[in-house]
Amino acid sequence: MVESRESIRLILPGEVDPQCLGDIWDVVPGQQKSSALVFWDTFEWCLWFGTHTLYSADTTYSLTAGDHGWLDAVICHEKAMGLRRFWEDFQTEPLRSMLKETLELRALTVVAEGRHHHRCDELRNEDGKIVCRLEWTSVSAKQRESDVLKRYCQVFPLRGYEEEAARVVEQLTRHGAVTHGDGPLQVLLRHGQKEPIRYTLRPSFGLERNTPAREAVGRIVTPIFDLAIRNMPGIIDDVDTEFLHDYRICLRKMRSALNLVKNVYPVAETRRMRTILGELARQTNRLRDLDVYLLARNEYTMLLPPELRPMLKELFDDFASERKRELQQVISALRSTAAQKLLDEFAGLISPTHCHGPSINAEIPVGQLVFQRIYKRYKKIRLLSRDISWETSDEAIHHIRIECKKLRYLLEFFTELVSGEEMMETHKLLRRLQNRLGEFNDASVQQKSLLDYWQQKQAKDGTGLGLGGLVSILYQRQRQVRSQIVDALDEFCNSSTAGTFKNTFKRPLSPSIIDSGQEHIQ
Amino acid sequence: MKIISSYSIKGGVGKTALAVNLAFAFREAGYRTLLMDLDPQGAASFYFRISGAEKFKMKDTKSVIDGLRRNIRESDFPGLDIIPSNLGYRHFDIQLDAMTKSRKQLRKVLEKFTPDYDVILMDCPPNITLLSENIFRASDAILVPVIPTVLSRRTFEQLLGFFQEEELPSDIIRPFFSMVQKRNKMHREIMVELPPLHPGFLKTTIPFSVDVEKMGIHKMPLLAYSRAGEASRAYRSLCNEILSPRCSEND
Repeated sequence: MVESRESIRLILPGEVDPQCLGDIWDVVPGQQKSSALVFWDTFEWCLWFGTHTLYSADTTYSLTAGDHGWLDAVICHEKAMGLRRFWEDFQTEPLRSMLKETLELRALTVVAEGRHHHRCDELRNEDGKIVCRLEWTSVSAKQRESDVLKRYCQVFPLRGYEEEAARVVEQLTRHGAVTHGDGPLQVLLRHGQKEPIRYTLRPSFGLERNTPAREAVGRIVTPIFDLAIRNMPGIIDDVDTEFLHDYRICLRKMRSALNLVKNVYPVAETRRMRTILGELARQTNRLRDLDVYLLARNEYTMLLPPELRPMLKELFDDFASERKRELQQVISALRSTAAQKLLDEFAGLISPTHCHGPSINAEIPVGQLVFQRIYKRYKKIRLLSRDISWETSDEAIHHIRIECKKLRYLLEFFTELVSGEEMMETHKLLRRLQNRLGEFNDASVQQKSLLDYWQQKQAKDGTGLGLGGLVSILYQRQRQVRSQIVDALDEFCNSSTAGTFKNTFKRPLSPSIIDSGQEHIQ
Repeated sequence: MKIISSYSIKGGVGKTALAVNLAFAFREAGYRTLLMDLDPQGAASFYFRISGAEKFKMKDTKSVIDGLRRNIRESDFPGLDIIPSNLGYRHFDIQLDAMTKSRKQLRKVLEKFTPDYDVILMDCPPNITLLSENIFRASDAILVPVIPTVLSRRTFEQLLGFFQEEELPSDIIRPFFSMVQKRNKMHREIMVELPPLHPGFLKTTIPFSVDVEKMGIHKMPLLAYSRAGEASRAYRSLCNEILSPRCSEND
């Protein structure tokens, strides 16, 4: 591909004969080349929404920046024969670092495939001097190479010959060329009827304070259920660990929504829905645990002194083998008729057409119902926090973690009902607190799990030593986090945050006051 | 950025062929190269199919910089740009004379091109004028093609004499044998005699070759159309010798 400064991209209306420039310059045609063109992105379209494009052609992976899918805006590339799935499969900088930042744990998958035909021509003046270079490109679908989907011409001016390049653009524009339009990736996506959709585990639910509670819960659960379903193929194909992670979060969120906003469905139906979600989640518990360990393999290994590091190999090899077996079980379970029946049953229960029996909170405005709950939950956390100190038992901290999680879900589900920067600040404080509580819990659970492994395997010699080292470090980490939890709790439960919760949820502003832009009720 | 000149008081010694092919070799080695054709004959520009530069006013340093910059032309070989010759350069001396510090103006001008280029190579006119003196003071190295003949040797020694008289640093003069015919006895004798007298002599010699003369037909550097010929290899070898750390130390 020709490289030059400030090239001009033109989108052609159809086939344009380069000889249309022949009256002014000698057109010296280059060699026609053709290559398979594969565009890569993640399930979440991380690259697309980060305005990057990754494509492979002729055994080279190229990362481009800017408009979507223009092949020339390459910022870095890597020659690679084999398949690249994760950022760590790339070997050269800065491609590796850039992908690490964007992809994180996500895998690359093919999002569009086609063929790319291109030819570089030179325009020469009466002295035979090159005054401009042109690259003619066409993109066709993979299946029907003869059907060209789009044609392009890129004009590369040469320094000192900018006027000639401007004349070329002018000539081609007369033949219908335009400077704005879809790049190759957009063209191939449209041909494949694919559209990048923003992926989020926090969709908007379109709630208002006076939305009836049952309707509100339905609006929360339905899109989250859809998200869970969307993640299932990725688990079955073992694309990356985030599919299972997100699937489980979806199940947990739905259970929480049904649990936290009580009595919007008849008790038996709620119980049934929660049982189904619990059942689906349980099938994947061990697989997720193993994913967590294997993802932390490098981190854990590096925690140990160099002499002990090889001693964790057996542990992680065992986990990797177990993961293979566990994955097969999860795949069988997800593909089973039983699982399908559970999903169908759940979908039926949350369907807007389902006829539910009466329940006491079904028609109550959701704002009225949940604001009380949120405030109550916060007060409970405040109360519990008074007993937290350096000596508090792990169980007490675990208890406060669960309460915080419930509060966070409530705030997340009903975030549309409140406004103001103060609440944003409390969200931040809660997230910080939860992170610390999460680290504490992970360190605690992992110690127990490693000790169980040690007992079960009767691990001696090197592995036993490695395990011992790791458990000690995790114990130290847990102790360090404990003091941070005390600080984070103090911040979250101080009078300022309490005031925000009180103003927002105990004496909430009426919708009309919010709409008119007034601030606090004193 | 290095500033290198291809210079000889005598014409027809392979000075322009050196400038054109060396510029191409530098560009091949990955150096962003600017070739300035200061010879009003414009042979170097012709070899790149570039017509004469537009005229520009040379009333002060700034106007010279602007004029030269406006005249930069990208060659057919990415990474190598040319400032083509201009008949107006024949008045360069008069213009320089009118400026203060007239002997050092060119260096000042060329320093402005530092961000864009790694090497500036100048194809100089065959004479000793105020422009030549500016070139001597601006250059990090002056490559002097010497045909192993009595006359060519004489002009080379005249150049050394001028440097001595003007107290210019003679170690920047890097002569080398050009248009060498090994079968010629006189060539062989001078090639034995001369280098020991002048330690800066480059080891590479450029053979006489009809391929070099064909540059006028091809209108491109020899290295662009005859990569493996003896003369091409010699130019490339000369480039490597100039780029070698040992040679740079001498600079």
